[in-house]
Amino acid sequence: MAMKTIELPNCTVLAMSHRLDGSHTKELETKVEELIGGGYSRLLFDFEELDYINSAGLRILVMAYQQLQPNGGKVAVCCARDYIQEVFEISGYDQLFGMYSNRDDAVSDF
Amino acid sequence: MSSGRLCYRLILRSRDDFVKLVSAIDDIAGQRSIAPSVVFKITLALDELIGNIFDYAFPDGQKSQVDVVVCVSRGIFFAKIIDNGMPFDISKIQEPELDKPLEERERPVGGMGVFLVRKLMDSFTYYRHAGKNHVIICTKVNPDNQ
Repeated sequence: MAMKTIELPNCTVLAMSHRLDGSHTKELETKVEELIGGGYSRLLFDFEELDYINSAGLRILVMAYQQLQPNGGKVAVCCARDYIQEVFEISGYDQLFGMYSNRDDAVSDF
Repeated sequence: MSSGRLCYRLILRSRDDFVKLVSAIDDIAGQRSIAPSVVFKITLALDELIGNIFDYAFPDGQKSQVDVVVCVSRGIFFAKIIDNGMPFDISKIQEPELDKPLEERERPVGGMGVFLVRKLMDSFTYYRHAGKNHVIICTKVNPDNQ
């Protein structure tokens, strides 16, 4: 997995590529905790280049939501492939996060 | 698409060995032109099952061994996962409480992996035989053509 962090005026984008599983899950968890600890409260996970995610990866997003949402923060996901979007729908997590088909719409909604 | 039987058998001794299974699935998918969305479902189901087995079936110190056979035949993918761990009916793991808001759930994320397996696969069976746990999953690999 490669991960790129982009700071925008109204949110922070975490763009991931390839696979989010195994040791990469810990890498993302550390990054998310670092951002939340640093006061970043609006996170956008950009999955345009992501081919794979498992329940451990989904758990990181839920963890971010649980920490940010009660304090007025926000977690959103954009650009997920259809089959990854389906996993969000099956798990019901699409009801927690804003789900967007492109990054511009997601960013402007923050 | 060829309909002959194509199988791989692998022995996994740790969670990290899962990458070998990913390679086998990719190889099967390449040979049988299986759609990326189906490869994703199969990989995710096996990932969740094998992750749970390594997390729960082997108490500290027990030598772990998970024997996995993955096959495609006549448009059906199936996998048999056998482990020598303690009796552990993975199909009985409690489902997530999807009917409750996240904040009210006792287990906000627990059980999601096995829930996904049940939803993504056409069948999911567990049984204990000869002192080992057996799990069988199967799904159609070309669902649009059925």
